[in-house]
Amino acid sequence: MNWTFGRKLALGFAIAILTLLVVGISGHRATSELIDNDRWVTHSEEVKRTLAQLLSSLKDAETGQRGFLLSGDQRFLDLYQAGLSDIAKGQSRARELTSDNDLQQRRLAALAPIVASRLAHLGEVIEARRQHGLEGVVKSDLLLDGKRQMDDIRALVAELDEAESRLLAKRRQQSEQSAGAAQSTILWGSALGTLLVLLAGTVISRSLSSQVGVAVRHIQASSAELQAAANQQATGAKEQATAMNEVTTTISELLATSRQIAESARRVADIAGQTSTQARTGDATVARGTEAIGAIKRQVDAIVSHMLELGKKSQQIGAVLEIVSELAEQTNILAINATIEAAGAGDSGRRFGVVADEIRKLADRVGGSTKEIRTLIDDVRAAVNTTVMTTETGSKAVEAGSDQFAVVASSFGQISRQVITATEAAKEIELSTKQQATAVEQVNVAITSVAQASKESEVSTGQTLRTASELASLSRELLKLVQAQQANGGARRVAS
Amino acid sequence: MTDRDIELEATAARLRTTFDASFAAPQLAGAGGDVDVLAIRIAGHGYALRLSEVQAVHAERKLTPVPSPLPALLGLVGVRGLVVPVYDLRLMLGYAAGPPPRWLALARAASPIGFAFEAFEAHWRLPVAAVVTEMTSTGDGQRFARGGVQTDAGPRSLLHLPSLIESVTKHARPNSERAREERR
Repeated sequence: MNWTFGRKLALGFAIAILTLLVVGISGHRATSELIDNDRWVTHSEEVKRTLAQLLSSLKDAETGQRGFLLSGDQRFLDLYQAGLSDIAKGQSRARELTSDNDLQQRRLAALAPIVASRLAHLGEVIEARRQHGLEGVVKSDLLLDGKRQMDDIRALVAELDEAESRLLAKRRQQSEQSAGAAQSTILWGSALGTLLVLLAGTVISRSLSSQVGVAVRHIQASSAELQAAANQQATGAKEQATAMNEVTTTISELLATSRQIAESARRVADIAGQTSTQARTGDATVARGTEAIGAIKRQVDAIVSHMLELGKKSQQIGAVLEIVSELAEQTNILAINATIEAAGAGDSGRRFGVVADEIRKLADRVGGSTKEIRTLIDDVRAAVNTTVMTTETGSKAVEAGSDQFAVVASSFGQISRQVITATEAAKEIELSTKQQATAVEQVNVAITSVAQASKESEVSTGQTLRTASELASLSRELLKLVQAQQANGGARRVAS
Repeated sequence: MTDRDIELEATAARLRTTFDASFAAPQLAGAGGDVDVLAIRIAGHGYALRLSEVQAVHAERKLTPVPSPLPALLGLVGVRGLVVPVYDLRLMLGYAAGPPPRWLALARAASPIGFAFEAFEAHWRLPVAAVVTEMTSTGDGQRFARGGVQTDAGPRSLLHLPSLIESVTKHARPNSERAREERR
């Protein structure tokens, strides 16, 4: 049966406690019966004393009555009165003590009227003594009745006492039997309990010695393994401490690098912020440039409109000049015809011919000037056309420039937004790098703690090694003790 | 102010001065007298007409075509109540037909005859010395030329309107009368 130490010890103690309980309970019951029987013996003796006291009280009352009868002394009546009181108390006490005995109760009930009659007779004698004196009482038959009543009373009291004496004897016998049973129970129970405790102790001792021996051998083997493991752990702890020192150095370098990265990220974030500000300023400049290009485009459109208007005006001038040219031509024709007419008119027409000639010259000059003006107007129109074409080309160029500038503005806006995004990213990088640096610092602290713990582990591993050695020594000593005990036990068994 | 503006202002000032001077200067005649000629252009060639042979010059007169065996007869025009036949100098001088001529010169004759030409260039008053009797140039139009005039722009054939009138008149007479003359 593979029970644990606790269960075996508990079983041994349980057997001992059970034995003690059985012995105790048996002793308690025997003692209780002995006490009860003794109480009943005492009770019977008290009943007998009460009956004797009752009879004595009757005798006292009778003595007081006789004293008063003989002497007439009043003091004998006091004794008589005390006897009456004790008789009442004795009767009451006797009924109370024998309340569990119907036979005794019936006897007391039969005794009560006789006692009452006797007391009444004593009272009649005392009254007769007072009225008729001693001689009157003697002459009467009162004294004869008193003896018969007293004899009945004595007989009944003796019967009561006899019955109570039988109960007393019976109870004394029972009490003696109970005392013997208690003595036997205590004696044999103690012997049996001692025997059981010795048996359980022997069994438990053997079992425990066997199991403890096995356990001690296991402890010895385990302590040896623990010693070897502690040796390996000590070596590993030294290597771990060395590695942790290297890790601490590396983490310190990593921390310095993280701080440098955080500083660089902060500078990048600052530069990105300045770039973002410049980009916003450039965005406003681009917006103003867009407005300026729009104004230029409107101005160029106005110039084109004015140039077209100028072309129309030059065309109108050309039309007017055409009329002037025709007028000059007609004037010339008229002057030529006037000259012809003046030549045909002879001398009288000569002066008219001069005027006509001047008019013709004038018309010629007007015609010439008209041609020059036409040339000039043609030049103006050509210049206007060239200007219009150039201006339209310029307008298209401005429009293309405006579109290109819009593209540039859009690109600039996109660049500005991307710069803002880059700024935010740089700030996030800065924050992340700071958090990383903080984390690396925490890791550094943790690694330092781990390194310290490794050193402490190295120390504690040495302590463990020493403890394992001590444990191995203790297990050997304990094994020696167990083996010695087993050897002694075996020797005793062989001797027996 | 550009150079062209300065030139225009100078031209205007010169015209104004010349115009005023023409009224202020005394009438002078050449030593040998002057010859008035009309410079015209026919089929791109320059010609001249003696003003003394011209009765009147008109432009863009309404021309009424009439059927005629003469290709040069363009039609009839009304001038001061007279119906005047008009001949195309281009065709008469032997050039190919061109666009309708714009100008019309009425020749002095018993019955006025009009000759149409493309363009009127100028009225020149030339000294007599400028008129030459012989011209070296030849061409289709030289048949009716009688000498020429020397101008700053070069020599120019001088058309003889009476010859043209005679040519037209000869072709315009009836065939019977023409045969009779030929028999004589």
